[in-house]
Amino acid sequence: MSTPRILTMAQAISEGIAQEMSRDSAVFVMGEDVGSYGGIFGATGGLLDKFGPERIMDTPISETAFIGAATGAAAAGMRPIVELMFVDFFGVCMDQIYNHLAKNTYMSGGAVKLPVVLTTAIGGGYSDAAQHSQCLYGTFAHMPGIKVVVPSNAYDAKGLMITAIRDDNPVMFMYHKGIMGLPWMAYLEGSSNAVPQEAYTIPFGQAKVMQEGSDLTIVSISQMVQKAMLAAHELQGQSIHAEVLDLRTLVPLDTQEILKSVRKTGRLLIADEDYLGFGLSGEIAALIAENLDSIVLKAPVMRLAVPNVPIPYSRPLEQFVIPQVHSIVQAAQALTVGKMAQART
Amino acid sequence: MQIGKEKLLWMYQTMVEIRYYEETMAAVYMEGKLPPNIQKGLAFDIGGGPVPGEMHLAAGQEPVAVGVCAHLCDHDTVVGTHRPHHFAIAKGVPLGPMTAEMFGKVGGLGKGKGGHMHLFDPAHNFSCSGIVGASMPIACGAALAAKKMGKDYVAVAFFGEGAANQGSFHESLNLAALWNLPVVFVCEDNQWAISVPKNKATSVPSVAVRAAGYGMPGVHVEHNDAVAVFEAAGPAIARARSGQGPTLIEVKTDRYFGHFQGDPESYRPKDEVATLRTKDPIGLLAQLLKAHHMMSDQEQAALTAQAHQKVIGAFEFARASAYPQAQDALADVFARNHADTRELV
Amino acid sequence: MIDITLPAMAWDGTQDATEALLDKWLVAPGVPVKKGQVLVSVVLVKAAMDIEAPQDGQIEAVLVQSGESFAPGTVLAQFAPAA
Repeated sequence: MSTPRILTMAQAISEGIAQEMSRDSAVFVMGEDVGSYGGIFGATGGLLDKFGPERIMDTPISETAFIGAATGAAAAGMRPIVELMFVDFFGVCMDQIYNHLAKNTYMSGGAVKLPVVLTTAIGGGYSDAAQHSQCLYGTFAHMPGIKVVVPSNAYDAKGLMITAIRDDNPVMFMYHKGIMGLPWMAYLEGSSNAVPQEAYTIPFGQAKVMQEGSDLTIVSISQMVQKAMLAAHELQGQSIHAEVLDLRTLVPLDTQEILKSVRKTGRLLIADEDYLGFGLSGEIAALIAENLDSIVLKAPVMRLAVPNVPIPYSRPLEQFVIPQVHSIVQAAQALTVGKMAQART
Repeated sequence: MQIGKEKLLWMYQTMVEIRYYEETMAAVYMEGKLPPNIQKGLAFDIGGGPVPGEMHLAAGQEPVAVGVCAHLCDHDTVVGTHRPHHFAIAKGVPLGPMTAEMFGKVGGLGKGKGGHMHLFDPAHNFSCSGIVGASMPIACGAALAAKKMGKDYVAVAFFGEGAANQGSFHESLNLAALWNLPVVFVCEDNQWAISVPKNKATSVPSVAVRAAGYGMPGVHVEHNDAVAVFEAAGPAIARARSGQGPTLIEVKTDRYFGHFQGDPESYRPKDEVATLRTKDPIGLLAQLLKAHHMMSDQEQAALTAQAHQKVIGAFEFARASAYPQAQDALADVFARNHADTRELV
Repeated sequence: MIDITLPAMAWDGTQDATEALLDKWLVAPGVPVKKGQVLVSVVLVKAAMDIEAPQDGQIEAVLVQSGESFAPGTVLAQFAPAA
């Protein structure tokens, strides 16, 4: 039995892209520093050497132009992968994304296909301040027409990337910098895991139960999944058994798996690194609220997320606003306090 | 020599101060980021140490800041980039609070909330941004306000040659020319946009030629020299101040360090920086001053010691300043209105 | 026996006491390699570098493991040239 091949999430993403590019000559990559630099966060590492500058194209700092160009090229039959270096930069090109890439298929009655993968780096925790630390998947999930994919580990990242490239629709592929496994940023090591050599797909809209439990459901995505797993391990030691659900994709969202888990446990904690207001955590809480006829909640829904403040630079401030492992543990303890009291009587 | 001795000595001492500041910051930045006392398996931890996050240093680019700011006073506005220290220092931003901000301390310009790319000093009308191209529209706004208020203040937008390919550049130049705004656009061409050289990103050899396309004068400064910048900036600022509208200045300058600290610069020819340093603008100005008997060796030593002391004092201030309380993260999202009696979050 | 090290030149420009990361051994001890074949990848601050076999031969003993950091001058492995 050979030892499994552990890859970092960055390696898994670039491998998925490489395998699809070998298979399909219509796939090419555009973005800032995607070529010899290999992408600022390693997502296109090694690709320039394999495929050359005609297919791995460094662009000027002109997001509207090159992301708009991805839309146009896709409509003309190509399958572009285009990188927005930090999701926080969406402001300079959002019209092309949400008014065109997201809407042209619908406005054409389905006639126009736009097979674009828009890759982007998300997430904070390493003091990059307000303009370089956001997650914003809630913003993109809110506007109809783009699929939103947010992996938490290398194995999922490769399968989801291959699915994204093969999908004839625009897919926003959001990778958290703090789980890419880069040698220059502290990362949660659960994100590097065994990745098969061959190409494989993971369907969108399929959440994964990372760990089964009966006391509460922790729903999460991206790096927060890795924090939830660490919290769940700690909670186990206190006889609190958490079920951890990795959503993997927000559009489409696996509502059935969320409902199934909450029906089982009766307690829901949503752990989200995006802003609290008007986002992912509210969406899931609303889903539960709409299904209260088939769920018995033992406690109100609890949401952990970044409060509606810009992400502060100073380390103690940033650690306070972004939910940490200990905040997940404390929230889970608060949620299950009734259970512990019951057990003691 | 057309330029007065006082201005020349100010430019020289300020460049010495900037260079020493950047060199000091380069060393301090590395504290807490290198093995062995970081996460096992990492070569570098960007989130570690007293100055965490990204760091973009301007060693080599001093002439652009001093040559322009020598013509400005506190009322004039400067909007800078993600590489802001030389602009801030030349504009008169107090070094202690500026440094404390980068340490994330409560004595910082932004109480630690902004960090190194987001330095705000309203008293000196200085601000900067981490988003490429953001400085230009904001400088237009400061110029617009000066015009509306009947003042002869000017605004200066600094940006890199990479930003000249961003939509905001084109919109800002058109707007400034159309509305005859007292703004000067200063392009720092250090030849590199992270790993992408200028000739791979820009369709013309000199950004200055684009000025004609927007109806304003364009000035190209070929040498990374404080006097050359001073002589180009003088007429441009005078034009703006006397109501004759905007100018675009492009200065060919040299970036001695990487794009960010820790940048391996594998994309850069190995001996490029060593070659650039043989034309160090600080040494060149010293030679000029001595040739014109405006500065003796003793005077140079005294100016240098004074500049170094200022920098050392700033770092001491920063280290001694306290960190903010975690709950402070929730304050300052909104400014207090005069009429407000309740807390705003 | 040849000492496999990261050449001192690689550390130019870094501060004293900066350690590098041994990222991954690409060849196991005892496996024959050709001159120039990459033995190990290391990362210093943010620069990734490969260290090659100085001659045909094999690694005899690995002295620094994957994931560990090491100071300038540290011998990473002992290399036995082919006879």
